[in-house]
Amino acid sequence: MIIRQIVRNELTRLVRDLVILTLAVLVLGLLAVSVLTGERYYQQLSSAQSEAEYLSRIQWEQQGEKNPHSAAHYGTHAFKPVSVLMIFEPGVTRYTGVSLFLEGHRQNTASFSLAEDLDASLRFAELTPAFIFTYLFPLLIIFAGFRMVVAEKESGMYRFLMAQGISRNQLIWGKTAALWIMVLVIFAPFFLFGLLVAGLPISAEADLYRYLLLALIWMCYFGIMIHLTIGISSFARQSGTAMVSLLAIWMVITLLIPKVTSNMAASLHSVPTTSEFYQSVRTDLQQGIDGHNPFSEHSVAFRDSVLNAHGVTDVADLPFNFSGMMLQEAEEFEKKIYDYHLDRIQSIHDRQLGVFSLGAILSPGLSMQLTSMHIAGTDIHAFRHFTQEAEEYRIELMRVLNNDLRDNAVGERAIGYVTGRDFFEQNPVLRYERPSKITPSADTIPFILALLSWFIISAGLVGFAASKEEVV
Amino acid sequence: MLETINLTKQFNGQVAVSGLHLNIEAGEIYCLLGANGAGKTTTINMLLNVFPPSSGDALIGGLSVTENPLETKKRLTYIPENLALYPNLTGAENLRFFCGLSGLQLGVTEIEGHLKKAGLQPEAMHKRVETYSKGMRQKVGVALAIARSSDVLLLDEPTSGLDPAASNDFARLLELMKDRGAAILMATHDLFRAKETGTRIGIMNRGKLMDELVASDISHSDLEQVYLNHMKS
Repeated sequence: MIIRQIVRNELTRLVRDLVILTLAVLVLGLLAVSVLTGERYYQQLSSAQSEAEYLSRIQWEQQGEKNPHSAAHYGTHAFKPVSVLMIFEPGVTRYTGVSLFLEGHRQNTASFSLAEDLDASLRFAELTPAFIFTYLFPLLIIFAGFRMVVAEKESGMYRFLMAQGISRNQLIWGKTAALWIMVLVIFAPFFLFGLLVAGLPISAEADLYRYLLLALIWMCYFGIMIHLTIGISSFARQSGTAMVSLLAIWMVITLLIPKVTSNMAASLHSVPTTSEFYQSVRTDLQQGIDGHNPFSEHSVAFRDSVLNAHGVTDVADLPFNFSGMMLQEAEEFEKKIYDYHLDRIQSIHDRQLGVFSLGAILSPGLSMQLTSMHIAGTDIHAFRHFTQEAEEYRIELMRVLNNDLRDNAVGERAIGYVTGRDFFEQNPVLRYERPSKITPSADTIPFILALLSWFIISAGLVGFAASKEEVV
Repeated sequence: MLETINLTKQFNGQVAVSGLHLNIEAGEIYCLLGANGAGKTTTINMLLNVFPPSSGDALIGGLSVTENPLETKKRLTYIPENLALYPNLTGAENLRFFCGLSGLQLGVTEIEGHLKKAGLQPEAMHKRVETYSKGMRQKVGVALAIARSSDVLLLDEPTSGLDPAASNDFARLLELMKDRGAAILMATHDLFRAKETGTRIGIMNRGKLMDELVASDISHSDLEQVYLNHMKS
């Protein structure tokens, strides 16, 4: 009853505070703009991608009569379906891209610099709901709440309120509830607007589920900021002190720790440059079979083993095309080399994520960003999942092409063998689908735990402030 | 109605209030006179249970303020020197809020009625408090006491800074509250107002109650002389 009175009083005063009202309207306006521009970008990207995917397949099927291995070099593209949730949380999508070029002998990747991908400051310029929620919304909470308790002490109202027979506990939890309601009142229209603009009620159930989880994660982050704001306001003796302390906390958790963590991750676990990576790959590739060099030591050894196995002395006497077999053998060897080097890069990325876990413990802003990217399916794990599927498809496509050469370019057809549209049309198609279930990876669990811990600890701070006796 | 029994408060060994015995009955205005630092506000703070006494006790309606802080606060209204009201709420909204904290859900007519009884002009009731003078704010405080039908009023320098007319208005309101049966303790250093308003006057110095006088038994000049004598002692 008393808490309800305090809440109603606080909300009336907040609504009458022109500064807070202006800020709230501004934030809501920015959210609306960010959703609309995000949706437009999503539609453009989605439609461009669908068109490119269609054209890529047409080009593949209609590339004309060609040796299958020439087709392998001609290459094709794999496309990662764009998640509608990138409207709200684009994550690393803009840096990793949404397509991969697939070709023979080579695994192409979008980027090797995870630290760069995860650097919060790089995302600073993007006006997305995620950006607004990470950086601007906490400021609104701080401006609305930093005076809530301390100003009562400064004005003498605190003693007057206590004289009315209310407890400090009721006062502080009432203020906390009022700030929660303010946040919910601002967040609710955004939530519904985003839901409708993104068409989530009619889209995949998984996306709607992810959207609800995103909302929960954002609310958890706002809750932390609400609790910190009321907690600091309760302990401070002057409004100025509360304001400066809260702004310092905001800077540390949204700017400083993410930046320092990113730099630490990059310096402690540096990723090789692209040229270094390909140089290492080239060096290792020389230790094995080269599908285009039949005179190399490994190619000769492989040819001899095949001839021995079939009891013949010349490749022309084999019942299949030896080049096709050798190209496939080389492809599998090359895959092993690429896998080895890419695994090394991935393990460096994992170690970098370990550093990020430490940063996330210190910064709820960082843990919120990393968790929301994971839920939206726009984090590095989602991209890895796509590249792994794309690689499996690539190796399967190469096998089909090389086997066609092996099986059909024999006898009189061996020289100048070409295949055509009928064959290419039958080639497998990559139909990549994002995982419908959210399975928190081992790397993401620390971020979620850090966020929950911050929520509980910050609520504990309010509880402690509420229970602390204070003579004013 | 309001009683202090050997009420004592020390801060870091310094005595702020020493062995104070008061007994204020319903329908009585007791003015506690004293210079700054005499212990008047400390006494009121102990009655409000802002901090506990070092020894002794204070009772409101027979209940100890330390043992029954919420119950005793429900029976009293406290009006400080500068009554803190929310500036961006109207006088009526402030009153409704503070009444609500006591569990009183009042309609607009009742709120306006209480403010009117406290002497607030009808045109001011729905204006934001940021436009109010100090006297108008004090009237909202009195309206709160009226609305809550408080048994006890604790007033800490309530007329300090008020112009004579406003101070006079406030004195009339105290009379009204006294007639309604409230026990009123008013800390002040305004000798004139104490003599004019009070039924009894207590003089405090260095935490001790030096003297108790019946207001009607003493003239202004005698009161001033007694007061000065105690201040010198």
